[in-house]
Amino acid sequence: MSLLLIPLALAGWQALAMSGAVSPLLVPGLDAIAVALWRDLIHGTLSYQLLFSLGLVGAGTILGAFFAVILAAIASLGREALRSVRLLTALLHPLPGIALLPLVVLWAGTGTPAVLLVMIHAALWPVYLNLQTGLDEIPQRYREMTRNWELRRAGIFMHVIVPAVFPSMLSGLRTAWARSWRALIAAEMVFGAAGHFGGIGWYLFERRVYMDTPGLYAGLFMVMAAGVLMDALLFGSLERITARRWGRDTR
Amino acid sequence: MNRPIIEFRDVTFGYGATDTVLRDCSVSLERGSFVVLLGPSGCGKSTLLRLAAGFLRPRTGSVHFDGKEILAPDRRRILIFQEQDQLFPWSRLLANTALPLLWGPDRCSRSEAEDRARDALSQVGLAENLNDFPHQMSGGMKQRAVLARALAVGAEALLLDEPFASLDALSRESLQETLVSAWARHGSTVLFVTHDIREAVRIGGELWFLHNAGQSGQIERIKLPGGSPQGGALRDLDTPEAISVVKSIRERLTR
Repeated sequence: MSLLLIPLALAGWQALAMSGAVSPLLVPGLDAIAVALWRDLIHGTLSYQLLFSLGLVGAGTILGAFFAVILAAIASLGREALRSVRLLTALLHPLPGIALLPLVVLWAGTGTPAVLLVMIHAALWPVYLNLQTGLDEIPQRYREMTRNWELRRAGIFMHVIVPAVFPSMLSGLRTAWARSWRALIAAEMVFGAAGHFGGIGWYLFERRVYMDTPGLYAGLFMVMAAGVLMDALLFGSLERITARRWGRDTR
Repeated sequence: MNRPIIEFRDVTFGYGATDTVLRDCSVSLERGSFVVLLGPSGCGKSTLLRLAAGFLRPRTGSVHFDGKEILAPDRRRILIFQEQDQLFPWSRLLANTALPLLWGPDRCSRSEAEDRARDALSQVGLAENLNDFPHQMSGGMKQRAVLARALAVGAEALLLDEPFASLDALSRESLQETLVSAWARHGSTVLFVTHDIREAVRIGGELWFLHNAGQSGQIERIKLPGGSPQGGALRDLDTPEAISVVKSIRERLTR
């Protein structure tokens, strides 16, 4: 039923555009948007810019996750360590990456390293928080059983801890990905092209500068499509598979 | 046969600084025996099991296994609980059972670990379920698996803490049979905690009563008539003798 909303909204849009009540600079027709999308995807640089952005987000998320694992390892050292890491997280997690931009520019300039820093910040905290929840939720009984069997550390790590936190890690990555994606597009629009090549955020920025409204909508459409594809198709299906395998699926 | 395998020597234990769950408790478990520990809830039954496993250390006194003081848990004394959280939900049954063999001190090869696991599982009637995930198994099947794994790991003493309490009556009876026949076949020693008197009389060779916490010398040992069950021959609870035994135990426990 909810899928009916999309054609309805598109039809309403097109009717509004064709009525001439609103300037095409604000609401261009769907045909114009489609033409712009086609033009820039096939003949322009939109597809490269999109891939460039996705690559950066992937790198940012992975690096953020890497540091999150290190943070969790530090937190596992003892009660005080856990408290310190929690305090650090409580302070830094609510800080929007965009608010850090001026500082990041000061430290890392406006190139790819700066963008990466912003994305690591966006990804690190959600991954850490989920990872920590996953670790905290490991049943006490698992620890007792592995002690009782005198299991080696490597075995405990690979066959108990890693699989036990896997589902929480995955949902952490899902949130982290979405946050970095937003952070990246915002950062790109502020920085412009990092060096000689910009991502999808830069594309959006350029379209606005040229008053190419259909192109602007085409870019937004691609941002949305990439988001939906990654979130629903990649993370959604991974989570479904995990839930089934881990026996959390009740269907 | 009559050498003690687990021995409590003047054990006093409490969780806080002031409370005392066990006081000056001295009792020993003979190798190959099947002892059921009964007592009102909160009397320290589980504490006694954990002391025997090595998860808890006595405040004073000592617990010995095979003549040596128990300082930490090890795989010759395996604790078994009610069913939840004892199998890893992400592993199939065979992998769940083989894990402690693969990664324990024995360092079995994969094929050896799996052979031993398969063997143990078929002894408890799970030969057909090797590829099941735990969430596909009933509570009774899970407890069979946990039992098989303990035997595969090489447990000499099985320390069971109300292992069948959450099972339905039929699975419980069949699990009791499985446990007793595994005990007989492996020559293991069993210390079985329950608060179900009928269960205790059905499977126990000897009953230990644990009376109120904090009093000294609170374990009372009772040999059940007919000696210990051998080779899976469980006591019939419908005979007049069994009924009167159950009744007299109930009176003692509730008095």
